[in-house]
Formats: sequence, structure tokens, C-alpha cells
Amino acid sequence: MSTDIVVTGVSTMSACGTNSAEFWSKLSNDELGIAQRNESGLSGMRIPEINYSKYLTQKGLQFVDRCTKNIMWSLAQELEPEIRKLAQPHQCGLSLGTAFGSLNSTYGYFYDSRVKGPDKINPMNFGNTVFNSPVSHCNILFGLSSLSITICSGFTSALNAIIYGVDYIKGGKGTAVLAGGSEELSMQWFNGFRTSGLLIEDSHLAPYHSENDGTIIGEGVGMLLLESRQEALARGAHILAQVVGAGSCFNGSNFLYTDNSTAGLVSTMQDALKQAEIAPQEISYIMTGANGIQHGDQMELQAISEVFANEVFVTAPKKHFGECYGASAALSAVAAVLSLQNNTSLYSQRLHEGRLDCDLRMLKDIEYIMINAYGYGGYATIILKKQ
Amino acid sequence: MQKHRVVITGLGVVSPAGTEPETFFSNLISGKDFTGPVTLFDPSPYTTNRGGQVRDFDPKKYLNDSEIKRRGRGSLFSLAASRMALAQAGIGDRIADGTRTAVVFGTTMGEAQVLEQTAIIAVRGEIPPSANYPMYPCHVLATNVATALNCTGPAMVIPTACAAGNYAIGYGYDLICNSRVDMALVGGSDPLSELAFTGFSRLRSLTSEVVRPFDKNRKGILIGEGAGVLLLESESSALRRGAEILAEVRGYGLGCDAFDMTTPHPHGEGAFIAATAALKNSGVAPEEIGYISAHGTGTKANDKTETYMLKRLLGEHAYFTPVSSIKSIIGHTMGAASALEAVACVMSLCKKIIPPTINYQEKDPECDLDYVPNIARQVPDLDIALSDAFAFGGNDCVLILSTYR
Repeated sequence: MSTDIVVTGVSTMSACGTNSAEFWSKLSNDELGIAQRNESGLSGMRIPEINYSKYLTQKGLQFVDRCTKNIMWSLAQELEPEIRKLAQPHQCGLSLGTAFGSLNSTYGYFYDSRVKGPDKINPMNFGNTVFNSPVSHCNILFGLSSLSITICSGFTSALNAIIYGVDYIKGGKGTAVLAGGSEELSMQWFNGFRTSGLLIEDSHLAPYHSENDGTIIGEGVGMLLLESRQEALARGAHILAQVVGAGSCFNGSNFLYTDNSTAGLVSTMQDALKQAEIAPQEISYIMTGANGIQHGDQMELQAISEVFANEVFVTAPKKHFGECYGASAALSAVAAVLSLQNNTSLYSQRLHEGRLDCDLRMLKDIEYIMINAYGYGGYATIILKKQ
Repeated sequence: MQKHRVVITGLGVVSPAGTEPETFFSNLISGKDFTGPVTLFDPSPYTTNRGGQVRDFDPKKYLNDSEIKRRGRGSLFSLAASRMALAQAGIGDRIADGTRTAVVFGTTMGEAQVLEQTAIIAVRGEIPPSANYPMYPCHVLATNVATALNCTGPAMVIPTACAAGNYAIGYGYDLICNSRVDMALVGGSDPLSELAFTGFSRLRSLTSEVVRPFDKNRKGILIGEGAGVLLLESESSALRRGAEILAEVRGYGLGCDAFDMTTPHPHGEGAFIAATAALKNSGVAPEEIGYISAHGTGTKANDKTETYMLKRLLGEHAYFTPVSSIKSIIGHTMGAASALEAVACVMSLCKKIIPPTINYQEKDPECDLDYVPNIARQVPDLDIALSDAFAFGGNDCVLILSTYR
């Protein structure tokens, strides 16, 4: 018998606030995120300033970089109480998707060693330079001793981390996994996108509406607590949603937005629908991966049109929190769970015969939400179902 | 749903002990030390000038000019080793229909050399070349392979530091077991990193002499580089193709110390959880294990903890099971280490001979197992091998391989 995988908790922080209530409030009111430029010239949608010590002890903060603190803080604030209710909290796994992880720390560590000399830098910061540092610090802080994994697959990192968590539970290796994504703004990332001509100067991001071709980067954390339905019911958990379908593939092209083919995204959407055992018309709406880079946005609309022969509603959540790279789809997944809980969609547009209607609508009676991620690294799709 | 058996039909190696699996393995068996002076950067500020540097690798032998262009050293390693694995499996240069082929790689720092080069340029006050930026995200280690070899199934990197190769093999195993794909190129890759030299030097983990795992006078690690790749395949796919099956992946297990970022749990808690899960997942009894490919870094803490964990796992059988560490021969190749160790295990299962732990001189009372000191050993009845790997953050993964029947 197959195991149902359900979502029993979410946590998030982004430019749209530092908890899921603020996040839903901004998204459901269609508030656009605002890019801010810092003294180094980096422009992006930032997580608001946080007093980390509110939820983390001094021990938790010592020698931990900002990227890690964000995940720790988010989990401590919104999901730790739920983790403690699990039958065996220490056996809860952690699966994190990220494109860059602690890139700021890695770069900074080496930069400092060149400026100050390798014998002058703090050895305790070396632990922050490996990609699995954020997850490992969280495992230590929360005492989680089973699955500890970091997954890097570019824009699809978070969905692949969620798919990994789903497979882990379905495979009988565990009964609960924290899965999602995290990304931190960094100058290296900003410069990479800027020199590739992928950024716009605007303070707002408006996929499908703007004449501008480019995106605004952002940062954030999005985490789901995944459990087997059996485990969740046994402990009387409130079930928020079910993960019913997933698909992941690579497009065969390793370069940024140079592949016109819709084949990859079509196949992940079809795989997810097949696994969910539903027809395309049962999808209430799609949270797209659109980020303002027109090549990708148009490719996705074309791919959706190929899978959804008639009409379907779409929304581009990145207009709220920016292009958070490896974390974006995790934020979309949290938004989808909250949408199912509130039984209302984000403001969405109808896609019909390959064209988007101009007017925005809020839909009711939400049953299934599809979430797409694509870009530098491949394609991935998951489908969440109302409970 | 019936799970597929997962077999190994191809191997690829880029290592300090040679390129190509046969060269690599015969050099391991020779018991020579393949660490030596590092020339890729100036090692003079550090505790040692020695490391496991790859010296005989010519990317042009495996890759064309466009594949070499704008690729970091880690990607060149992973792509060349993948091509070797495909060739051994009788598939050729590219997979004709790669829709059901995954690529999963492990690494510690990805293309760290590119990041280091960028920082060095920035320290000089110059503007780093824009071509460096697309090489930062570590997933390129997998997607460069997927692009070149036409693999369009799932492609990702699992950067769980020094255990990453085993994690990648484990996920490839799962993807095939669960019918997501028919084949998976899995393994690990890490180029020699000055950042790693800096960090381990500051942690006082680098030895100033040779690597002596499990020896009483062991002083620490030497950093290495390389890539190890295995082509995993469902049994039915391999049989349908008439491929030669080298060995079988029986299962794996994960565990986490949840203890400290850089120091292993004194009782190897995460490692024990991972090893116990691996035995359960593979359906193998402790007394069936015929060889243990150790993590065996040569640090005081690791080797003592690992010995403790193995005795806890296997009981009395631990004393009758040969344990060896090829890190004594090639250094610690970081995210590639467990993948190269898995390749060595497959070769051991095929040839019934296990590589030694070299530089072993004096027994440590706290490390009292059979470490196959200095000379390779014939084990005619070798059937099942366990390969353990432990990483920063206490991220541990244990793999179990066997001969195919």
C-alpha cells in the first residue's frame, strides 16, 4: 500500500515577512515585494532585520553565519513546537534545497585568509564553508539524528529536496522530514546575474506585465513538515495538505535560459499529474516559476498550454518575494499550503489558448495546486492537495 | 511495488593514484604512497606542502574542446570519470535516450578553485571575469555531465561534505529501486582546494608527514582531489543490454551525529545509526560483512570513533573483518572520497583482493582491529563489502556492496 505524505506544518521568512501569517497576508493582498539596494550596490528583496536571539540562545548563534541563522530562526519560530510533538522528534529528517548555501561565508573565509593571512582567521568559521553547514547546524540545534541532506540543483533545489523527503518517508526510512529551501542574498550571486544581463533596475517585479526583461533577486526560507498520514493521524496532528504528485528532470542544457524547448517542463507536469492520478482540469491553479525573465516565463506558459488543453489559472508568486533561486519553489509551496488552508487562491490570471487574460481573480474552492520550478539546473513540479 | 535490484556496470576514476579504474586499483594494491608535493597553488603558508594531487589527468583524452571550455576542474573530473563508466558499460560516448538516466554527484566545496580564483582577483582590486559566476552553484558538477552525456532524468548534487559520494550513490540507488530511472551516473568530485588547506590547517588537522590511519602515531589528514563514478543500473536493464555486471548495490543507510560541526560524536552515534540502517536496508547480517572500506582519515578522533562504532556494530565479528583505508594512499579527496572508495570496493569484490592501509607502524590500543597493514590481501571468499563515510556536521552514510549472483 502506498503511503500518503501530508504537510503538518510550515515555516517561512522572506521579504514578505518573517512568519507564515505575515507572508500569507502580503501574498493574499497582492502586495508586491520591494527591492532595496545596500551600500555595496546589491539590489534585492531582503528578509527584514531580525532579532535572532528571540528564538535562538547565544549558543545557537555562536560561529553560525546568517544563512544558517535564518533557517534556524524560521524552524525555531514556527516548526519546533510541531517537531516536539512527533512520536520520535530526534528521528525527524531534514532535507534542504539551496543553490548557493553559505556562499557568503565560503567566499568571505577565503578572501579574509588572503587579506589577513591563513594563520589569522578564526578556525571555528571553517565549518560554515561547506554546503551542508546550515543543515548540520540545524540538526545539532534541534537534536535531529536521522536524515541530514542538502540538495543543489539550481532553481529546482527546493522541489527536489521536497521530493527527496517524500521518497524518504514513502521508502519507509523515516516518518517525518523537514523539507524545503533556503537562499541568502550575496554579492557573488548578484554579480553573476547582473553580468549575465538577467537583472532589471526596477524596485518591483511584474512577470507577465512588465515590458522589462529581467528579474530581481531575493532571499528566503520555506520549510514544510512532511509526515506519513498514519504518523500524523496517530499523534492527532492538523493536516494542512497532501503531496500527491511530483516530477523532476534535467533539460539537457546547462546554460541560462538558452533552451526554448518545453519538453522538460511538460514532462515534469505530466509526471506529477500521473502520480497524483488526476486530470489537468482538476488543478485549481498553478504557481509558476515566472520571474520576469521573459524567455523562461514564455516557455513556461507555452509548456502549460501544451499540458492544459483548455484553460487554467496561473499566478507568479515571485513578484512578492523576488527570485530566491534555490528557495523560491519552497516559498511557493508554503504559499500553496496556506492557499489550501484558506480555501482561496492568490490573485491569478486565466491562461486560455496560450494567452493570459489581463484581469486578476481570486479563486475559491481550491482543491489542487501545481508548483513549477525551472531554469539553470532543470525542471521540477509538485502538486499539493487540499485536506 | 516490487523494488528493482540495482547493479553496477561501469566505473570511472580520476585520482592521485591514476586515471582509469584498473590503474587506480593496481596502484592501491601496490601499497605505494601517491601523496606528494602540491603544485596547484603555493602551499608554503600551511602545515604541509603535501597532498593527493591528480598528476596524470589529460582532459583531452576524454572530452572535446567545447566540453573543456568554461568548466572548472571538478567538472572536468566528473565528466571524464562518467565517460569512462559509460565506456566500460558498453554504452559509448553519450546515452542515446537519456530520459531515464539520472546524474547524482556529491561534493564538499564544488568548484572551489573558481571561487578562490575570484577572491584572489578581488583582493588585488581587479574585477573578476564574468565567466566565473555561472560556475559557482555546485550543481554544475552534475549538470555538466548530464548535458554532455545527454542524461535528461533528474540531475543534482548532494553536497554533504566528506560523505557526499555515498549519499549520491544512495540516492541513485533509490531512484532505480523505485523505478524513477533505469540508470544513474553517481559518484563524487572535488578539486584540490586551497580553502580546504586553509581550514584544515587552522583546525590543526593536517599532518606534516604521511597519513597513518589507525596507527598510534597518526597525526592527521592530507587533502586530495579526484572523482569516482559508478554507473548504476536496474538489473533488468543490464540484463537486457547484455552488460557485464560488476557488483550489486545492496543498500545504504544515513545517520547524523547532531553533535558538533567539526568533531565526530565520541561514540560515533550518527555513524552507528547509518550503519545499522544500511544493514537493515540491505538485509545483510553483520557476520556476512567480509571487508570494511574505512573512512579512516588518519585523525585521532575519527579513527578511534570509527573503530568504536565498528565494534559496536559487528560485535566479535569486527575482530575477524579486514578494515582498510585508501586515504593512506591517496589522501582525503573530500566529496570524492567515498565514491573512490566505492569504486575500490567494487574492484575488490571482482578481484578478491583488498587494498592495504599503508604507513601503518605501531598499534594503537584504542584501534585494535585488523587494518590490513601495508600489504594488500587476497580474500578469495570476499562477497560483501561495507564502505562507511563520515562528514562535517556528523552527516554519515554507509553503503553495502556485494558480488552479483
